[in-house]
Amino acid sequence: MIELRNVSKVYETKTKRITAVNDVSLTIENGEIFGIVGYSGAGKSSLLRCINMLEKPTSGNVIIDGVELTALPASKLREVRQSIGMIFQHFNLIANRTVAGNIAYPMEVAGKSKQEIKARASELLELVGLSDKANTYPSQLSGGQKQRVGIARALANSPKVLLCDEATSALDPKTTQSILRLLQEINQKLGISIVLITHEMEVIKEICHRVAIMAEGRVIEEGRVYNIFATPRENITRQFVQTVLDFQLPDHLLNQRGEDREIVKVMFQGDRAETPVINRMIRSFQVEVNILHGKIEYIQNIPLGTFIMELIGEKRERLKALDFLVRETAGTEVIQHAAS
Amino acid sequence: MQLLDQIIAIWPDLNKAFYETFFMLSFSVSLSALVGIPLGMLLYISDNHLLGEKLWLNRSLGFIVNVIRSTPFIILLVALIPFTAWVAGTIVGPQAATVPLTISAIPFYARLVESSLKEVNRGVIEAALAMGSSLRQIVFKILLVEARSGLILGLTVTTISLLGYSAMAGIVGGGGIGDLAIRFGYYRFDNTVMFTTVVILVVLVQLIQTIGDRLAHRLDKR
Repeated sequence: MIELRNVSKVYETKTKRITAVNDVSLTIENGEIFGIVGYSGAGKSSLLRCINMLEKPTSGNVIIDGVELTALPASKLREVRQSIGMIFQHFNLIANRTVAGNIAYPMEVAGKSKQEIKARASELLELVGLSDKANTYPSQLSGGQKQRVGIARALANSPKVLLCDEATSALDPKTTQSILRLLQEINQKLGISIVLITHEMEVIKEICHRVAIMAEGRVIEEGRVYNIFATPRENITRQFVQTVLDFQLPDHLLNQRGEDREIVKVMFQGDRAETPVINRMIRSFQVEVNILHGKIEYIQNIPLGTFIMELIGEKRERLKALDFLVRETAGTEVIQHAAS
Repeated sequence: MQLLDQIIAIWPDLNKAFYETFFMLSFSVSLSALVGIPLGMLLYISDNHLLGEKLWLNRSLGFIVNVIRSTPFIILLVALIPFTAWVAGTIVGPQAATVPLTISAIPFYARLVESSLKEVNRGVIEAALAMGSSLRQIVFKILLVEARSGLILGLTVTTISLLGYSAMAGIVGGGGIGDLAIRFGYYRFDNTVMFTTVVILVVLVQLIQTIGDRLAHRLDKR
């Protein structure tokens, strides 16, 4: 378990003070994939580096499995770092070492024997699907392959925690998917906790269990990924959610206003997304429904449906139908009222 | 045929000069590598905030390096005579010339070492720190490995510039090919000796550069 208690990181230059991380407290459970999302400059990268003390927090405590890293002397800290893997946006492989040599490096640092290193390296190469590249140099690999080497290297000393610093931001969408699948597999098979930072909400949606949203050095919202997508509270969170669940209606639909119709946005969560609520509404009330837009996203295999529809009928019936929707769905919002 | 006869006539001198140059270069190049690499490493580490920045150390070392580098070689040569006498036991001959050559080459190479180290990807150092490496492991397993082709190219440049400086070693009777070119060719207007020695120097420089380039290229996997 990783606990961050009131962690702050302040950078001081001669002319100014920059608070990169401002009083952040978070708890990350064992076996969890925890995402930290924010725009660039929000402080997520500094926060991630506070976890393995690459950045020493100005104040606050970092505790991993009961060991307070912020209180450790340098030699003990190096030992603890050997059990925290880290992967990077630009991979950061040793250019003059082969793939196998890169994977061997952390084990050499940990003082493992030659045979042990050799056996473990080939095991890891197999795990990341690069057994045929052992003697290749990083410059001959594609971005996705380099990140696989990075992952193998991070796992070499069997860490309990894996930190991912924008691990997929330099990769194309297809490669991103394959790396995310690999991370998920590692989390499920080996039970390693993963903390990842990203500016892509898609990454959070794909693999994270919980997410924290950062802005100006603070965590402004935190929760289970599904709940954040279904009911974002803060504006910035909503902006991030919109990057995945984007509903833009073309202007000509919004301009067609009539006295007998309004445009309604309805959200369905969980089981409700799979029950015929709209069908029941049409049968119960004198209204017609015209679906303008709709999508069901599966987040952690739980459906989250969003529909935009036109509700057509007499005012009295429309109000009754709306009332029904408010009761039966997770969220109903009239986005354009009838012309009066 | 006259040219050939003349070359044969100076052959013993050439032979001796070649040996003297070889002696001066091999000592001063290996000593400057031996001292220049740690010095350049120290300059780099003391200015790197990931690796325990010590600005006072960086500034003081940098100052000494700059002082030696800004002193013209001939002045250094003369100024160092007492030191040379103490170290080499003599103030004339190739042994004596090796001392000021080495002293001037060390800070020159140290700066080249520093700049090749600065080209090592900071991200790799950060990754190594994240994996719990000690400073010693980062120096030997990361920095020297990642910068190795730059270190070799720097040593090539140093060797060639030492070859040039060694001509001035004639002041202390150092001898060598460059000195031969100046004494026989330039002062005595003996064009044959001058051209022959200059041709030899050109070939020597080409050879050193080619070997350096090849080695650096082979070791560079970036």
